[in-house]
Amino acid sequence: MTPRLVVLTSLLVSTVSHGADVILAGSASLDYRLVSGAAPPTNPSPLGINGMTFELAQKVVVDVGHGVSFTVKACGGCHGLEVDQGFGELHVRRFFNVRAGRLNVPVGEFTVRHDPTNFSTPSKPLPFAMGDMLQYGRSAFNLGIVPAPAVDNGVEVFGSLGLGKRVSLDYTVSLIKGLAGDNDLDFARSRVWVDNNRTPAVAARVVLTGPDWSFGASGTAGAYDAKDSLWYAIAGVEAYARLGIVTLRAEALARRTDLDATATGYPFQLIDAWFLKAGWYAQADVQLHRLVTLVLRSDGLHRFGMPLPDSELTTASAGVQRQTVAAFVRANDFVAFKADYELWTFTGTTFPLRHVGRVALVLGY
Amino acid sequence: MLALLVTLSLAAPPSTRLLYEQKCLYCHSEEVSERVRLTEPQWRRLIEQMRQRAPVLITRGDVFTLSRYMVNGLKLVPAQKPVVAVTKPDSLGADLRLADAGVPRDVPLPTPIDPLPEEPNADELALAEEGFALMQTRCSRCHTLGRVYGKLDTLERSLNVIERMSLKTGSGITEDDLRVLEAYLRSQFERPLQSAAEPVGRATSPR
Ligand code: HEC
Ligand code: HEC
Repeated sequence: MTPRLVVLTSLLVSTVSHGADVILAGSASLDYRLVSGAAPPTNPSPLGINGMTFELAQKVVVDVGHGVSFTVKACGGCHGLEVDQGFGELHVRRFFNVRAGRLNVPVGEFTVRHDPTNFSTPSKPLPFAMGDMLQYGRSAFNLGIVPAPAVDNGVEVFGSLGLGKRVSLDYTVSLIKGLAGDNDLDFARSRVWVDNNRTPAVAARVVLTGPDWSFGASGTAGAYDAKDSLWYAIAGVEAYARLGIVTLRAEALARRTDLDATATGYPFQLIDAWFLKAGWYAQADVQLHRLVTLVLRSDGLHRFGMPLPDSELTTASAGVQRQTVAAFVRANDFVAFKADYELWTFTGTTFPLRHVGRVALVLGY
Repeated sequence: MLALLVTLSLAAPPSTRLLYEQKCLYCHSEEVSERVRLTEPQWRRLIEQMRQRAPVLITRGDVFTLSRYMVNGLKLVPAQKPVVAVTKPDSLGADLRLADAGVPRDVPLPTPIDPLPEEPNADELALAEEGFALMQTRCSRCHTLGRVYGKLDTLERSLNVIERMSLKTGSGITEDDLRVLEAYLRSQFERPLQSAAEPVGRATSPR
């Protein structure tokens, strides 16, 4: 054991022996996708089997009392082992609480449910997609709007204001390191622990919620390049409603990202040095049986503006739409199967239509 | 005769069937929960042992509803009872085998010296119903309930979790909801059993 590990373990053991309450949780998911047509686009695979990925997460929550808790969640997937959450939380009043450390950035509702055990489809909605998206590479759409999990270092205040018996207005406001990159965002680099520039970013989410419904808005903005000169801004709206066996969710997000005017190789003359990406999804989960949920989803992503140098996109307006039918079947409360069919169509690009089938096995405790 | 048994079990109110599926098939399949034949008081003791493993899932009232269902709905009673005696002769043998201690298990069969749980009063039943239903709806918004019940195994931990969850942005869990949930949790954990100082089954809980 390294000295650091010894210190950590003994800290944990001593908190446990002082009566702190420890909750363990974890999940593992194995996902396989089959794409129709010639030369299907590939995705990164930690198994080296094209189309197959896995994700693993283990979490420890220690409630030490007096409203103080600590959460550490490590996860592994296409980007190696990462710290998805690592924060201390202090509950002061219902309307004012503090969390500091490595956080999940409060942008969009899906980011809350990014763990594979917490969403019903095998793939993430396109505004939050990463490598599981077709044509995800930098030379094409360069991922979604705010790839989930959105993880960052910082501090946030959050709380809930009661408006009557059944309605509340919840908020989170965060000061974070921000996303990183040069000439468009680079999500792998955004997760590095040290900031690449001197401008912190801000993020916020506000949700008006009743027992079976909610409406919300969220956003984040910051400088992303090393010289603090290129900016991004993301804004989104969200809605949720549950009507008996049907759960409806919809979100729309957009990101404005500055382009580097000094870069060369753009396909045409750069006039507006920024581009806009808009993404959305609408999803209905119909619980047919205690163990079986049918999911219908329509989502999309559109990019307006100058393609990046060397991009396969050649027009100033290119998009992807997807229609999904999925089944979420639980064998019991710890094992679930997900399967779907997805129809991918592209506009403003030469990418052909694709049929995609996915299956996933998800374990969680 | 099998047809009669099937008809009988189908004749049980569907809501009890659902209750059974929701609560007894949470940790294991029917193969486990239907592998023993017991009298009603024995079922009550066994289900009380199951309740100790997940007190937020199986309420005190459920112990009674479900033990009646095991006896009257599923007819899982000892072989000498007429209803099982009329099944095929070889299944009689199987029933006897299942009823004795030869079946591999890590839960000791309840013995007559185990305390018999006390039936909750109407107020307690109403609170349990409200609390359980509230938990079902509020706690399934961002994740399935699967990971919830198994983790809420002490009062303190459960209270910490519901407070933490209620403060997640957009949880829809108001202070009023928290009060009901807290009262529900207290009613399921705190009321002492008739004579069991030490919760039954704890020692054998898989942890
Ligand atoms: C929190 C988890 C959990 C829940 C909920 C649960 N059980 Fe169990 N049950 C267990 C475990 C663990 C065992 C022992 C494992 C085994 O033998 O396979 C068990 C074993 C059993 C057995 C076999 C006992 C034996 O000695 O062979 C029966 C019968 C049973 N359960 C009935 C029920 C009924 C009826 C319910 C619903 C009221 C229920 N269980 C709910 C965890 C649970
Ligand atoms: C606003 C969404 C939301 C609601 C409502 C909610 N949870 Fe959670 N819950 C979460 C999130 C997010 C996690 C952590 C998931 C992860 O690790 O990515 C979680 C995790 C958990 C865990 C695992 C331990 C932990 O702290 O991570 C338990 C237990 C739990 N929830 C219980 C409950 C209970 C009980 C309720 C109802 C009182 C509830 N949840 C309602 C969002 C919610």
